[in-house]
Amino acid sequence: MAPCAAKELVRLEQVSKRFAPARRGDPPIIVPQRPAGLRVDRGELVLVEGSSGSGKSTLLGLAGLLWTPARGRVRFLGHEVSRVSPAYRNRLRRQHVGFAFQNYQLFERMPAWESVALPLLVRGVPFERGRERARELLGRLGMHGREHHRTEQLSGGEQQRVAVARALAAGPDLVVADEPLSNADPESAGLIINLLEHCLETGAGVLVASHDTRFKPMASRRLNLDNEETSGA
Amino acid sequence: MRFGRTFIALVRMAAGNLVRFPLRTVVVLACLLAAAAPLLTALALQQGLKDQALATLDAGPDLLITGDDFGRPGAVPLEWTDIVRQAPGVVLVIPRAVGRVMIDDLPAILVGLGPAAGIEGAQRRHHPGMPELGAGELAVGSALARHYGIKKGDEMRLALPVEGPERFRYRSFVVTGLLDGPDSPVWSATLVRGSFADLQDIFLRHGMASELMVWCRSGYEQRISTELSRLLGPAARIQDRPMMETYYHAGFDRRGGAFLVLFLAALSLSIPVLALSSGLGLSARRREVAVLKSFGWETREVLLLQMIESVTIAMAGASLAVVLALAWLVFGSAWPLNAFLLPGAEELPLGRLPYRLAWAPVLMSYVYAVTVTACGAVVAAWRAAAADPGRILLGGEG
Repeated sequence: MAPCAAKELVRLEQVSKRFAPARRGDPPIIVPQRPAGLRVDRGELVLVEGSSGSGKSTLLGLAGLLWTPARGRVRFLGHEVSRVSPAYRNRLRRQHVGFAFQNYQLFERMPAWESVALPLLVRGVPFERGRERARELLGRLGMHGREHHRTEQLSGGEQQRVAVARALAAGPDLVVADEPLSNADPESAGLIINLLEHCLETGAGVLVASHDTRFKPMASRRLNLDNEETSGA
Repeated sequence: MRFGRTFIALVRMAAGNLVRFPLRTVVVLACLLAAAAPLLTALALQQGLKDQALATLDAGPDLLITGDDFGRPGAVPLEWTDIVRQAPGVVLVIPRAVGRVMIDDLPAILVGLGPAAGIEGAQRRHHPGMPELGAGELAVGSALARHYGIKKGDEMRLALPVEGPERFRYRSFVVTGLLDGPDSPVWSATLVRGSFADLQDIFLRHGMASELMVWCRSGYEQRISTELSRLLGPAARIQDRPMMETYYHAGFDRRGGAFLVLFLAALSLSIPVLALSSGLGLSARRREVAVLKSFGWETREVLLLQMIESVTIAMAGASLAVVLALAWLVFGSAWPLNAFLLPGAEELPLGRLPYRLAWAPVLMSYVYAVTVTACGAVVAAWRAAAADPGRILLGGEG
């Protein structure tokens, strides 16, 4: 694998995704991705837009190496990874990717700090350092004093901030965020955006699927999946 | 170093998961307790009773002589006492009378010891027992005394079986002693001791005893047994200590075996329950496993986490089962299981029962707990670990 300093983080070329059919015996559903190409470089935010069902999440799953494409190519840090083993993709995700899911996907009854520290703890980062990092990120997202609250005790907006903090905890090269401002009030949205901007400054790339207009000024490139338009560099 | 820290993180997470999914934890623990605690309790009680029986046997006579009454044990004439005493190597002979009586509606065993015949000091050495009882005197077992509130000096009425329409005749005695010493074996709790003469009178067997207890010089038992067979002829049944041990073992094993079969049947039913309950909360777990996989976890790490969880809960369950079994034995006298192993225990509280929790059943309960929870969890874990995280987390739609 190339050193992490490679400028291009991920590139998708002519990819399509195969989904299992709803009924056994039916042919699989193959969804071609539009536009035909996607690239995320270090220090840039790429915004994916489109109506519901247009394939935003699928695109994020392919770029974040959760899925392999049925056709086409995925290059990650300059290497072809379309046909690599699930274990290898896991390793790449572990080292380079952080996800913030649309439905947050936080663990039930888990304190906020532990949710954030989880990706660090399973990487063998010492417990205290994991907790400090979680506190730091939650503090930057305006959640001082809420670190020990369990998932159920947090509002939707707070859960969303925890999900974003968790995605950034391990300092990934590529942050994949699905609607990260969907439940955030203006103040929280500002804090999330600030944190993502900080990530960009440190050389990470951010791929965001969102309808929120506040991302538009930050985006180096915007992809609209409804009209196959690409704007930006 | 890193693996060590990751492993510690996994252990912390597994412990956290047990707390975060309390329903699953409680159900699995309850299943483990329901399966392992009664078995441990019964096995410990069986072992304790067996130990006590064998200790009593060890302290008892070397030979036991009864009559042969059409192939069944019968009474022996007291004249045999002298014949037996004369055999070379015999140091002590004590005739014993044993019979069943009723105290109100509860059956009890009435025992009386006849005059000992032996060399000087042999009785003191081999059968110190209690002081001889006089006519009309009784010593009562601790359970009976507790049940009826009997104290020394009280009058006590025994119902004695007789033939005819009356079925019982009653006779009054004075209680002059209680069989409640710390070393009293559990079966003495329902025992009543009387004078030998009274027993002969009650059961209308003057000049007879139920059996002769014989102590021999060490190493002469077999030779004496052969000699007594020759002297007493086919009218006598002679049991030596190995034979008595065999009967004791067989008795315990039969009762314990019957319990074990019944229990294993119940246990086998608990296995599917436990397997199912190990998979409780699977949908939430599948989502969490998908999140972990999105962090880059591999299937083997997910399985390792589940395995640590299973082993942790199994060890906790088995340890709790051991503690519960001990508490059940100490504070509950293993009620109602004691009735399986100790006939009469359901009718009369016998007080504290002897027990010994051997390492083998304890180890077996740990192995059982780990095996069953791991088998139950591995299916759920595999299903969760093998699922496509993208489909679970992203829904496969945009």
